[in-house]
Amino acid sequence: MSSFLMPTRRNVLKTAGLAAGALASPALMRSSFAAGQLTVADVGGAPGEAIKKTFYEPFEKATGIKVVGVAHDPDPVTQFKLQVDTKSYLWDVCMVTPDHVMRLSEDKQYIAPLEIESPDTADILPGMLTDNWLGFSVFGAVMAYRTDKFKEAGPSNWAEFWDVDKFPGRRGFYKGAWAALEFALLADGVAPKDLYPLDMDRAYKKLEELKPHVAVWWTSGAHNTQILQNGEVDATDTWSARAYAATASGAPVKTVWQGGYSVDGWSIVQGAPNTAAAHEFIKFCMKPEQQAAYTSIVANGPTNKKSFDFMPAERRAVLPTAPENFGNLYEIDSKWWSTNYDEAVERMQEFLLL
Amino acid sequence: MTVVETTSLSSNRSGPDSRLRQWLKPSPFWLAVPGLLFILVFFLAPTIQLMSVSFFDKAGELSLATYSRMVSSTVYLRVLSTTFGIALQVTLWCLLLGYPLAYWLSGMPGRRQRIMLMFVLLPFWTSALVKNFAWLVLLGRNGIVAAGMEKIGLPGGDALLFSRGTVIFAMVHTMLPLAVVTMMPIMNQIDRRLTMAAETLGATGAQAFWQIFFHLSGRGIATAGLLVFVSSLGFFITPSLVGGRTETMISQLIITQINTLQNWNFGSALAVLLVLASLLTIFVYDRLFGLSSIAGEGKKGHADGKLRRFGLFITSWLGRICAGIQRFSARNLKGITGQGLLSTYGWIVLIVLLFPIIGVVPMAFTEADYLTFPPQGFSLRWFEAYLSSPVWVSATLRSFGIGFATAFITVIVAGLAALGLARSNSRFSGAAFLLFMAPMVVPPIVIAISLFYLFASLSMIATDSAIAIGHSVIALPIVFVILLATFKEHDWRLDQAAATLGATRLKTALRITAPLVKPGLIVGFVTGFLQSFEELTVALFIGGGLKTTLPKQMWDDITLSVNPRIAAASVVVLLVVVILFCAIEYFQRPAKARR
Repeated sequence: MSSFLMPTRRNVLKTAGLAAGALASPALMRSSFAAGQLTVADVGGAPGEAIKKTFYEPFEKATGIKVVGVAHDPDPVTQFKLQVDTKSYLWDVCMVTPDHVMRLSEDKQYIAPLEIESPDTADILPGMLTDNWLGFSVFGAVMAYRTDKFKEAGPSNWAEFWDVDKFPGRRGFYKGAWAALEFALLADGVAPKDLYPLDMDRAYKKLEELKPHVAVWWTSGAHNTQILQNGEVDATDTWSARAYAATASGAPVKTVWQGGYSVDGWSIVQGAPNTAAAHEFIKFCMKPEQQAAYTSIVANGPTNKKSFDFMPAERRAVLPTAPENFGNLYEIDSKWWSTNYDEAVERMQEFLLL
Repeated sequence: MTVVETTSLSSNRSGPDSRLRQWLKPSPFWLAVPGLLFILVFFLAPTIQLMSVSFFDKAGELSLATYSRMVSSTVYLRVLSTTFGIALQVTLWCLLLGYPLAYWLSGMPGRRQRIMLMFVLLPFWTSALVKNFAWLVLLGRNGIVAAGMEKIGLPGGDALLFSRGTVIFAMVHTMLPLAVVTMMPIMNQIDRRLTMAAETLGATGAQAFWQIFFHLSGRGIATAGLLVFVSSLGFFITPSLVGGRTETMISQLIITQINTLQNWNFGSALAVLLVLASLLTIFVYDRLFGLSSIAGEGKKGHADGKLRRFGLFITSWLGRICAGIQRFSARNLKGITGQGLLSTYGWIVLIVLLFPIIGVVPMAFTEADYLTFPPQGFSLRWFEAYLSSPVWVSATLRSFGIGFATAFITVIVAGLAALGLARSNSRFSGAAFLLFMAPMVVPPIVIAISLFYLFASLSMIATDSAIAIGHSVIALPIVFVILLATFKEHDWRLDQAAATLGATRLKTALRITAPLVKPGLIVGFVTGFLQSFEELTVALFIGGGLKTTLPKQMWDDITLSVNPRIAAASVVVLLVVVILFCAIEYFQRPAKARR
């Protein structure tokens, strides 16, 4: 696709360039890539602020390299590819998940190698450091319920989440399929280690049972926090930091550590102007104290095992990578999702409409 | 200006090519040329390039695979029909609810009308994201409406959200101001003495209304209907936040395909489907309501045919029925007047329109970390968080700057084009009209991505001017229609009269035309500003994360965490807008309020 659009772009330039030239002021964007400066794209919002405070600013202090943080789309792959294809670089480093990494290295290599050689890599959880990506923030796709509704005990696993007789109450469920089909299979008795490749027929058949009891098909993380916060649903699947945001704001919400995890990390944009500084930055993000500082603000798990030495025990308990929680989580198979996402979403639409 | 140039051009040319001279002769149509070029360069060419992608497969080979996939599953046609169904219902409700409101407003003296119009427009100024989250809070299971309903013993208060009804309600809420703003100027221009004349000739009030006033306001209804309908087709935030299981609209699918799945081929194919379906609607609409008369085609005679007679028949019966009701109520329900009912209705609609805003304001003053109503405690911490954040403040300032730039570009480009089309009877008018309307039927995401490519090749990504141009493309159709309606309704015989009396062209334009079309121009300017101020998708792509507008900043905040800072931001924006309106009002004062 991208290779196809290249000539297209040139044609557009040909036809539009002359007329547009009159209106176009010369671009100033390159000026933001002065030497000793790094542009990093993160998810923005509250995590973006935390990243700024615990990674960008300390890095700037330590190295003198100024970091400009910008927010990217919820899914940065489109923007990422466009920059490399059109060679108009906005970012040097970008926050991506393994799934993004997969999609960015399918037909064309959009990501530059990390080139990290250090003994400290031994402290990083297995799989969290590859040759072109460093994971630094682990999040769980798990379950949460309102403790004001389920006073004694709420559903403690996915079979119980499905059990509306034993645990009556409004359910919420993710409308986007990603990392949620697994829950249907778990409820149907599949063991976590046998989940992938997902049996979609079986998953949608099981979801059919839950369908009449789902009051809200949530569409984004903020949506999820909101419905937990104001009690729109009694139990829902959630992303760990989302449920924690509701809990932290004082809502009676409990997280059940049953589900999968995925990781946010850093990758370098292929051909970006400040690759050397980008390497330094990513090495800096491996440090346990930096990761501990970050995960003390955002309730995601650090990937450096030593980070837990830098935080109190009660904080550790709400993080997905704390040993007591991490053991219950399986790794969401990004490769499977990367190949089957399209079909899963289409089937989800079909399932929802019928 | 263009007219002058072409005049000198054609008179200097002594060549024998009379056809060329015929072509270049000063015609008002030339005024539309800058607008057409704008559309061609910034909309048509990039969009067609991008949409052509749907005819290729992922490997870049020519293929119809995307289209065969579309028909192989019923999902896409279902979603398309849901989209059209929702848009149609939203349109009908907007016209039904908006017409009496516009009528009520048009009966007010100028100054009062403008103040009331500001209240009608306020919900428009509130970000769609904020409004929808406000609905989540206010209409929620534990919300204030549910509590109120329980108190008075009404069932169902806990299930107000997440249904087709909620989506339609929230969309009507968003679109109603647009419908009113489109219908009202045309009603303002109707000479009320005509209905008085009809009454002198023996018609009852109701008959005079239906057979005279309603008829004359027909063009406003048709324009508002079309605008609301095509804008409704592109909604995605509302159905995804307050919709239920089956409320998926086609823009959501396009965004999922392009943004989440990177399936540009299929995403573009869906966009093609939507664009074709919308064009078909416009075509049908045109046949039914003679919309081309707006575009300046001399089809008036055609409209005087069967359809017009049918319309007259319907309205005359409506007139008779209403006259009957009027006589009945005059006999039996003393004290209830039509005017009293109308203003009661007007106030009720106004209160419902303002409801989420009345909700958002206190939510901004909460002590809590999340949006809640009624708010907990009183605190200014979220205003502090907003005003002390350089990111938020600069985003707000940028939005205002880009908004004004967009308003200027669109009013000039669309104004010239509308003037050209209104004054010309060129056979290209119809096509030109459709071209100016076209950006409306293409989902903003498609426009945004095609513009990304265009601006990337010009190294203009992440510049304010690129965002302003993108916003102008989005705002152009709506401003164009408003201005076209204004120029069409303008009585050009007044200009001829001035010319006969010796006024120069410039003098006529300044002293006669400008003051008369000024209200239309102001509405056009404000609408252009609003469109830009509210726009998210183009800002998302072309801003590149470096140039953040206010909706983009809210989007960043809201996709990750909902906190009352967005409510605080909305309150500040509302305040600024109210001040702006007051300023406009103040400066208009010396020129005595028009009726």
